[in-house]
Amino acid sequence: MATTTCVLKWLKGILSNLGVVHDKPMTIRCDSQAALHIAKNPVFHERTKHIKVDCHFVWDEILKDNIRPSYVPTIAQLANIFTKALGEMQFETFLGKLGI
Amino acid sequence: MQSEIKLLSEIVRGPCNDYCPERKHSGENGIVECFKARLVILDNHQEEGINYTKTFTPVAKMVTVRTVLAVAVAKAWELHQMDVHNAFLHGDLHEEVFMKMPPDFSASQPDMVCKLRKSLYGLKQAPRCWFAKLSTTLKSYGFQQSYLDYSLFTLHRKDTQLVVLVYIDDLIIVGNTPTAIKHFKLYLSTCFHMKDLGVLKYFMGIKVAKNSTGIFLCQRKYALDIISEASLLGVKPVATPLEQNHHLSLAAGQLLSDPEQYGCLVGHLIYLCFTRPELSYSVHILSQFMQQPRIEHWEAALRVVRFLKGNPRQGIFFARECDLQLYGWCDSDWASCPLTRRSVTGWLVQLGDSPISWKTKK
Repeated sequence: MATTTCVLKWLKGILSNLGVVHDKPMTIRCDSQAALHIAKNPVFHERTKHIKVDCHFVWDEILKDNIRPSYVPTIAQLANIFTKALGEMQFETFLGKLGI
Repeated sequence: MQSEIKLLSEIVRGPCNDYCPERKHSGENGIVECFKARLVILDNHQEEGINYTKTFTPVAKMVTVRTVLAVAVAKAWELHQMDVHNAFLHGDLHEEVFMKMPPDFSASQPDMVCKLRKSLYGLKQAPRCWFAKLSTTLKSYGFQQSYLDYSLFTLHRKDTQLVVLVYIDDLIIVGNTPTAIKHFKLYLSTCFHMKDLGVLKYFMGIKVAKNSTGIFLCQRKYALDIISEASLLGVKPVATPLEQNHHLSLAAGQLLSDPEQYGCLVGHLIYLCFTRPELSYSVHILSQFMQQPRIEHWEAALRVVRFLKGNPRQGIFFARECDLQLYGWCDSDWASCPLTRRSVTGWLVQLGDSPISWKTKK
């Protein structure tokens, strides 16, 4: 999530160089409820010891209203195609949705 | 080679080892357009600190290329392309480099050497010199260099807007008015020997097809080349690039006798990812075994090629109707690598509906 935020921020910069104004918060869709809860509540989470820096970075961006995380069910998660080998059916649905 | 020396003497306006490989220069359809011969410096004779200092040169990021194209389509800007003839010969050389006389010239003055004033092909710093020259030229026209990607130059002047993307000697020129582009092209032609390739159709092996609803990028020829190189033109295609529940990192088969062939194939596939996000994960997995490829990995790589066979002309589409908003998707597979226990993170960023940035990362 933190890396996605980084990429989004960078792309926003590139877009502004191209003269495109992007004033709305950018949506990040994620299928992990846990990650979303951690990102939304800046409170102590016992099990998040090793991801502190990433976490704070994402919180900051949410507070600045730069990004807005939202939940998406795993079936509709487009990024699935980048993290696992999918079966034929799933693979083809994602291909269609990617716009390729 | 004579024409190159003639050009050089035009550039330098003064006096000007090595070998000149003759190279075929082929275009989009694989037809040989011209033969080239070059005067090339042997860069292994250069000494650091004396003959060269810094050699780094920026090239356009693939993500930037896609973003520029997607925005240009959405705003209905014109896309043009230009190429610089003998680009590296234009760079100014600041270090002191001497060269033996080229073969044809050495007979008349056998004990003389040349001191270089302009950069030549083969010099370690040639790309850097060329980029410095180009960026000063662009800046003097009023362009601003982007801090986010050094190869992106933009110009805002009243209601005209120009964007130039530099990939070594290939320039992608985007602008909102045809006259602005024309003026800029004329300016460039006064500075360098330019070749105007007109509307953007084919660059870096990527075909750009345009219709009323948007543009389509594909690397069909590149994909077909990969398939024929692996001599799999006659095989049956498969539906997915990688088997489900593969255990490639735990593979214990025989080591490949020719790991270079594997590296070569995976290298080709990496470049193919420019227009094929669906290969990203498989390429990420395969490229982890570059050091010690085993027989299973080779078979998996061939499976990706068989997948390509199914639809070599697949690519990405940038729609004209686009709300110019960024949408991120991120997903991670927790501790999926059995060797390192690291998670695999994947993300995708869409501009409207067009995919512009994606990555698989461990």
